[in-house]
Amino acid sequence: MIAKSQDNDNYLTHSSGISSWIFTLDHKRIGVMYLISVLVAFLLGGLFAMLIRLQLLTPTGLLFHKTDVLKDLIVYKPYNQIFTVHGAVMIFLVLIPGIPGALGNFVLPIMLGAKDVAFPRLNLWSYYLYVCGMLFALSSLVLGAVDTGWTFYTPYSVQTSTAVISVVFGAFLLGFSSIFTGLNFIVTIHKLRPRGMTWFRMPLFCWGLYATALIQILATPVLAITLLLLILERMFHLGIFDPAYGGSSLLFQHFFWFYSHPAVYIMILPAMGIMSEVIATFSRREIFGYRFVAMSSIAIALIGFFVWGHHMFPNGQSGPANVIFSGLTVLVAIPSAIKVFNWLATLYKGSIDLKTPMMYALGFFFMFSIGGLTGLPLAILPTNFHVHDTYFVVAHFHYVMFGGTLFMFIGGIHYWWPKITGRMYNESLGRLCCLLELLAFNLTFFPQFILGLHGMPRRSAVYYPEFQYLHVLSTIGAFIQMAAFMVIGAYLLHSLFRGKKAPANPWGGSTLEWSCSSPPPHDNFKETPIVGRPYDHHGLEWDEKTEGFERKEKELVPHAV
Amino acid sequence: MISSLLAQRTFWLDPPASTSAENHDLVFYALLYVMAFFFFLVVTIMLAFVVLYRRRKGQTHDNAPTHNTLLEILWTVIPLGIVIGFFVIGLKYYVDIESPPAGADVVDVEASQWQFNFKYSNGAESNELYLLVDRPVLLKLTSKDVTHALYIPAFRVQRNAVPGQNTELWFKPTVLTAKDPATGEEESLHVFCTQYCGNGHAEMTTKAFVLTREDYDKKLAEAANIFVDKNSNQPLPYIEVGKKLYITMGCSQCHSIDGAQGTAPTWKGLYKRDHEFSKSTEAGYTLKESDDDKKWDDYLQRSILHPEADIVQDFQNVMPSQESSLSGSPYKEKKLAAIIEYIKSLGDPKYYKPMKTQDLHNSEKPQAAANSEQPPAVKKKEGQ
Repeated sequence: MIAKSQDNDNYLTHSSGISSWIFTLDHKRIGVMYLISVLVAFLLGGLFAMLIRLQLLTPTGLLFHKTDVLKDLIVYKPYNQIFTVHGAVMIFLVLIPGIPGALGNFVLPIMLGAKDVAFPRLNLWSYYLYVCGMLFALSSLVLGAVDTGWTFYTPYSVQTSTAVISVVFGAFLLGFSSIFTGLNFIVTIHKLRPRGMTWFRMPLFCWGLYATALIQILATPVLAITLLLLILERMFHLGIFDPAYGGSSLLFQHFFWFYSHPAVYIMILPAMGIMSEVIATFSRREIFGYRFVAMSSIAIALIGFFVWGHHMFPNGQSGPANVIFSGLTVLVAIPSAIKVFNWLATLYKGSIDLKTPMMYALGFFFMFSIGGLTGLPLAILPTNFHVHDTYFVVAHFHYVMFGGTLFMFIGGIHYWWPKITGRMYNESLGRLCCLLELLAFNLTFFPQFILGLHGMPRRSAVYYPEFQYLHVLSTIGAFIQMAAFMVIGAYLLHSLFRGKKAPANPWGGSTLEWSCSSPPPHDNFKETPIVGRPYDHHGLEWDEKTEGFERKEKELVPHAV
Repeated sequence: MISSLLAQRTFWLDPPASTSAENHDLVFYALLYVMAFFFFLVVTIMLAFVVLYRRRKGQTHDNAPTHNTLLEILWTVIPLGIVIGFFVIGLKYYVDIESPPAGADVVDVEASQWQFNFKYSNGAESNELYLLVDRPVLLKLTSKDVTHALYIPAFRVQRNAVPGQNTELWFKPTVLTAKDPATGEEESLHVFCTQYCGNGHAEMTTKAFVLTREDYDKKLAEAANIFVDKNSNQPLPYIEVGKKLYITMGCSQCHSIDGAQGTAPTWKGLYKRDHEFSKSTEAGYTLKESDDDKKWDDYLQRSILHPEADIVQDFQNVMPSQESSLSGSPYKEKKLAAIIEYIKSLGDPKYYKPMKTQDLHNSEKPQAAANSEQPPAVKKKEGQ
């Protein structure tokens, strides 16, 4: 290890050699490793999405279709495997670990003015569990890619000849990775807040991660048990989930969604946290109604536990259960609505700077509104029976998961990129690609609402010709998105080598991570800072010399200290 | 009529073709207006603020309000009221969805990989769904293998067929499907399986026809008697009937007739081919080319009614027993004989002696066949 002068020392140069990364306990390096792994998985999942869209370009299937020679053979299985792998990779390897694992790990301790998370070793273990889970899940690509859909519904998942066990075991390991991250974040937030940071002075990203962590540690164990039972059912036919042996397929669906619906909030809550940070910084405003926004995260986490049955309305669930789950589901819309209105009010009388992360945040308003509102026809019983398991659902959850979570993940990467890498990316390309993504995203997924309303079932390799023009629009959109993502990847990589050096505070952010240098030093802060209100932009002004924001006046004194 | 309906197809939804669809569309359009209102509200305010409060030099609003309790309570309570309102409206129609009217026609639906089999009260069976216009119909769904779902977009109805469980679905079609005057083709409504069910899920689609009483009765009578040629009204050869059953009973999903290997042994050359069994209820049971016709007949019958009894080498025990699909029919024995006849016809020609159609049709009375529940063939064999 080379001793560097105090000024130049940062977490990237603090120590060198491959083992300094592999065995690192530094939350920032673990965050970066997560980021790289998640982006690799994202690329993989994206490529599978392209294959799906290619297949659906023609009614009889462009890639896998019947010919005179193949008339009696199974031709659609590869398509079924592709959509399953796309779903499983995107959910288990990208959306769930993405924001907490990569951005949360990097940012949370710095936001709290702490040196690291509460349990650094557990943090590293959690990363390696993620890697093992990823390897198990992807090994199925060689062993016989799973064709059950990412939901693994029984009894088909018990009967199929594909490598269900390796994927399910992979998901089991990923679940534990997720539990450990959640546990770590909860303890970190409880124990490592600095002087002056009361619960209601925490940045809202921390609230988002905290609510997420609650779900992670409470719901994921149920998934773990469910997946283990599924493996046992496949191996020994115990008769738990397969009616042929005395089990119940509805039982599996209950268990599965008891985790997998709250998992939707594991994905969206941290994204909402990023949304709050970005809106506050680029509007130069305190988040309007901070307490409502913070508490709505907790409300979403709690109510989110009791709505899983809405995935099963036509599945043979009892009438009273359907009614109760429908009622609880409409309630979960309210905290999300509160957030959207509060973010809007934050823009009021702000000083709005349309930098790339802010563009993503404005895009979030647009897409999350559509994604959230189209949840209503799914929550209300009579309309659910028409659109259930059609492309309407596919469009709905892509608007929430992709348009919501992934957009804010990409937005968050842009927001903290200068902090993580110490480099600035090309701002005009950033804005251009965001706009392009936004347009192409809507071209891809809006036609799918129409497809669903006209009765196009999901997970189908072929379709009636009348649906074709909508599928063609969707495929064109998907390819434009892919191209835009390629450009984003290119300018971000370029910035690593040629980007301008980033100042400590390029955007005028008021939370603690912007007061340490970019990239942050190994220990984040020389001494634990004392903090006041999280979104106090008082005295933050642009400094021509450093090309960043500096506090020209002392911030308002934290009165509780 | 469907073509005229398609012509007036609207942007969001196809025209409703049942009472449940009319109810659905009412709720959906109400929701659509509310969704559109809130979406445009959010986006308009957002864009307005972005323009009005764009960053300008020297301009700060550092003392803008940071909260307003009354406003926040308002935008909590108003959306809450709206969603609860919709929940209540939804509930009203849901009660209707779950309450099939007394006296509805009953159709049993058996879903399997990858087709639907509809059974009507007169004993008729079909893979397409025939419906009476303006009559409520109650579908009783079961599944033979994995979970499926029956979905008819024009009626806005969907229900899963769950193995080991009975589910129900009712609706009242209100619009006739008819012949296209130009092509003479019968028009129909799409029927889909929406619950992913394996390799052939994408092809698990069929048609629904909404008919007048006269057409409906004709269709059902045709479907009921598969032993008579529709046009000439003459008895059909058993091999022809067997060929039909090969498709309608779903045998074709796994057994090929051209020698292609699938989940199950091909029927081509199956008859009088030497067989090895990985498992059999009788130890050391084999089947040779030289075995007599009786032993072969017993084997074929047992393999259809009790497929788990003998498992052919290199194949899995996956075939469901056809006992239940046959026993509801008044033609059980005849159907069994027809399938066996068809299998024999696909074997080596030197062993195939076609049945005399006329004799067989006369010798067996369908009613008697339905009542004489033969003991399982496994037992008979022990006497040999």
